[in-house]
Amino acid sequence: MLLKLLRYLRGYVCFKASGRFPERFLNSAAVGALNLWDAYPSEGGISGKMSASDYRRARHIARRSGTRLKITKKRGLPFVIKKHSDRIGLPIGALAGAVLLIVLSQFIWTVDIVGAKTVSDSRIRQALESCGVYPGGFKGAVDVMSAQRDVQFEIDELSWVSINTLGCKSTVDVREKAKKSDVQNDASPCNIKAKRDGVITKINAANGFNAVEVGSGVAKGDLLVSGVMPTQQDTIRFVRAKAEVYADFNSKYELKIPKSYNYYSLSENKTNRNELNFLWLSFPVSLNFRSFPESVSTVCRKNLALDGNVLPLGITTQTTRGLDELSVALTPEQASLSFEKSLLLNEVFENGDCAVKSRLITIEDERDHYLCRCDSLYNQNIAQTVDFSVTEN
Amino acid sequence: MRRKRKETRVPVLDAGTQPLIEMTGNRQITVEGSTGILLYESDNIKVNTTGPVMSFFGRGLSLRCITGSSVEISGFVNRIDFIT
Repeated sequence: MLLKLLRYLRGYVCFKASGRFPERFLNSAAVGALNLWDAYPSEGGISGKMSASDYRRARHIARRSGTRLKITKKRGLPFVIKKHSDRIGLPIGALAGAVLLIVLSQFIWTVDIVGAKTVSDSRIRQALESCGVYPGGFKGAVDVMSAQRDVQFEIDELSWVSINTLGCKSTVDVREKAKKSDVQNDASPCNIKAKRDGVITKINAANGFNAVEVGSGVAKGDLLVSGVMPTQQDTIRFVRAKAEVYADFNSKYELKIPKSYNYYSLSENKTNRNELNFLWLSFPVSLNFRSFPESVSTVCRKNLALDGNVLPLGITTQTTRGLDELSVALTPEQASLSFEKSLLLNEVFENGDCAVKSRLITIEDERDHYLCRCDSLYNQNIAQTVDFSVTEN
Repeated sequence: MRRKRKETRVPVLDAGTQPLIEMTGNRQITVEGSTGILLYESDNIKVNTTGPVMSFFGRGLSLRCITGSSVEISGFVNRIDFIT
């Protein structure tokens, strides 16, 4: 294999020696230290191969031995270079390609994160970027040990970080810290107290001494179920109270909805601007100078992926949409509908764990707005565990 | 009484002038001491040596290497003749 490569680099010719005694040429070539190989008898003579540099001498030997030498093929790098000598662009392109390859191999192309379960990839990437590990970052400028330490300091949830750069791909292995288990100390005594005002409707006490009864009104912070239990021997016992205490409470929600208002709506007019991204470079692909007085824009980036690896080559599309200002006048029915939607959202986010018992909605038509009110009656578990400590004298 | 020693004649090996033939089965033959190729065909190769002319018969015979004093032949050799 190596011999073949050397022969290709030096260049060789396939020849045919013809005449009455072509063997004489072989003998003379051997005596003259000509390097011939793959010699085989062919029709009317002997064919073989020899180094291109030996051919001039071989012709002289062939003339003396009475044979005619003819080149059938020319092989090797010198002939390829000679063939393409008038194409100056080829070597320049090859040189530029080699330089580009060498330069680009000095940068990180992709960063893969392995092992992250609860910590988001974007958070880790952000931390890595501050240490110089990002697509387009110079490999030589990355201090791996320092970067690993900095990422671990920055993200407290990580217990171990390893940055392995192979070629142009950085693989970041992370391990997360094991979370402490939420085991409650059931031995410590506690009371159940009210977390809001209300009227008790139901008590499901599993452990503890009931301090209130169904129908009693309680204020926020009142004791509902006590963790101090009297015993039959007229002593007391401290327990961990456990109970569900349901109570009714009223809630008012009020909203002013203007009778008419202006808002911006997305129009059909839009412009797309594309950019070709390569590492840290951006090249505009499409030029569009159309602009709108009021607009919103979205940016979408699509990168090329090869064999599961995201390459730092992609297209960023910025879509700008014009906004139209619209004026709307509301009827009482529309205002009511809008208020109900707002009320539902309020119930979901403010009183999500409450059951609605009743609801009274009133809408008043005022000068420039509708005044919407809702009086609701909710039922909720208001039990709240409050630990207390016992000191023995 | 003096015993008469029996004389034995040992053939003299003339490594300086006689050709040396090295065979690997019947597939490869190296002849050292060749002085030239007399005939080169795929079924017959005649090699002139410092001793007799050697004629190798067979099929698919080819010269793998030729130097000033040795020849390497490969192929299926069926017969070797020494022509004196």
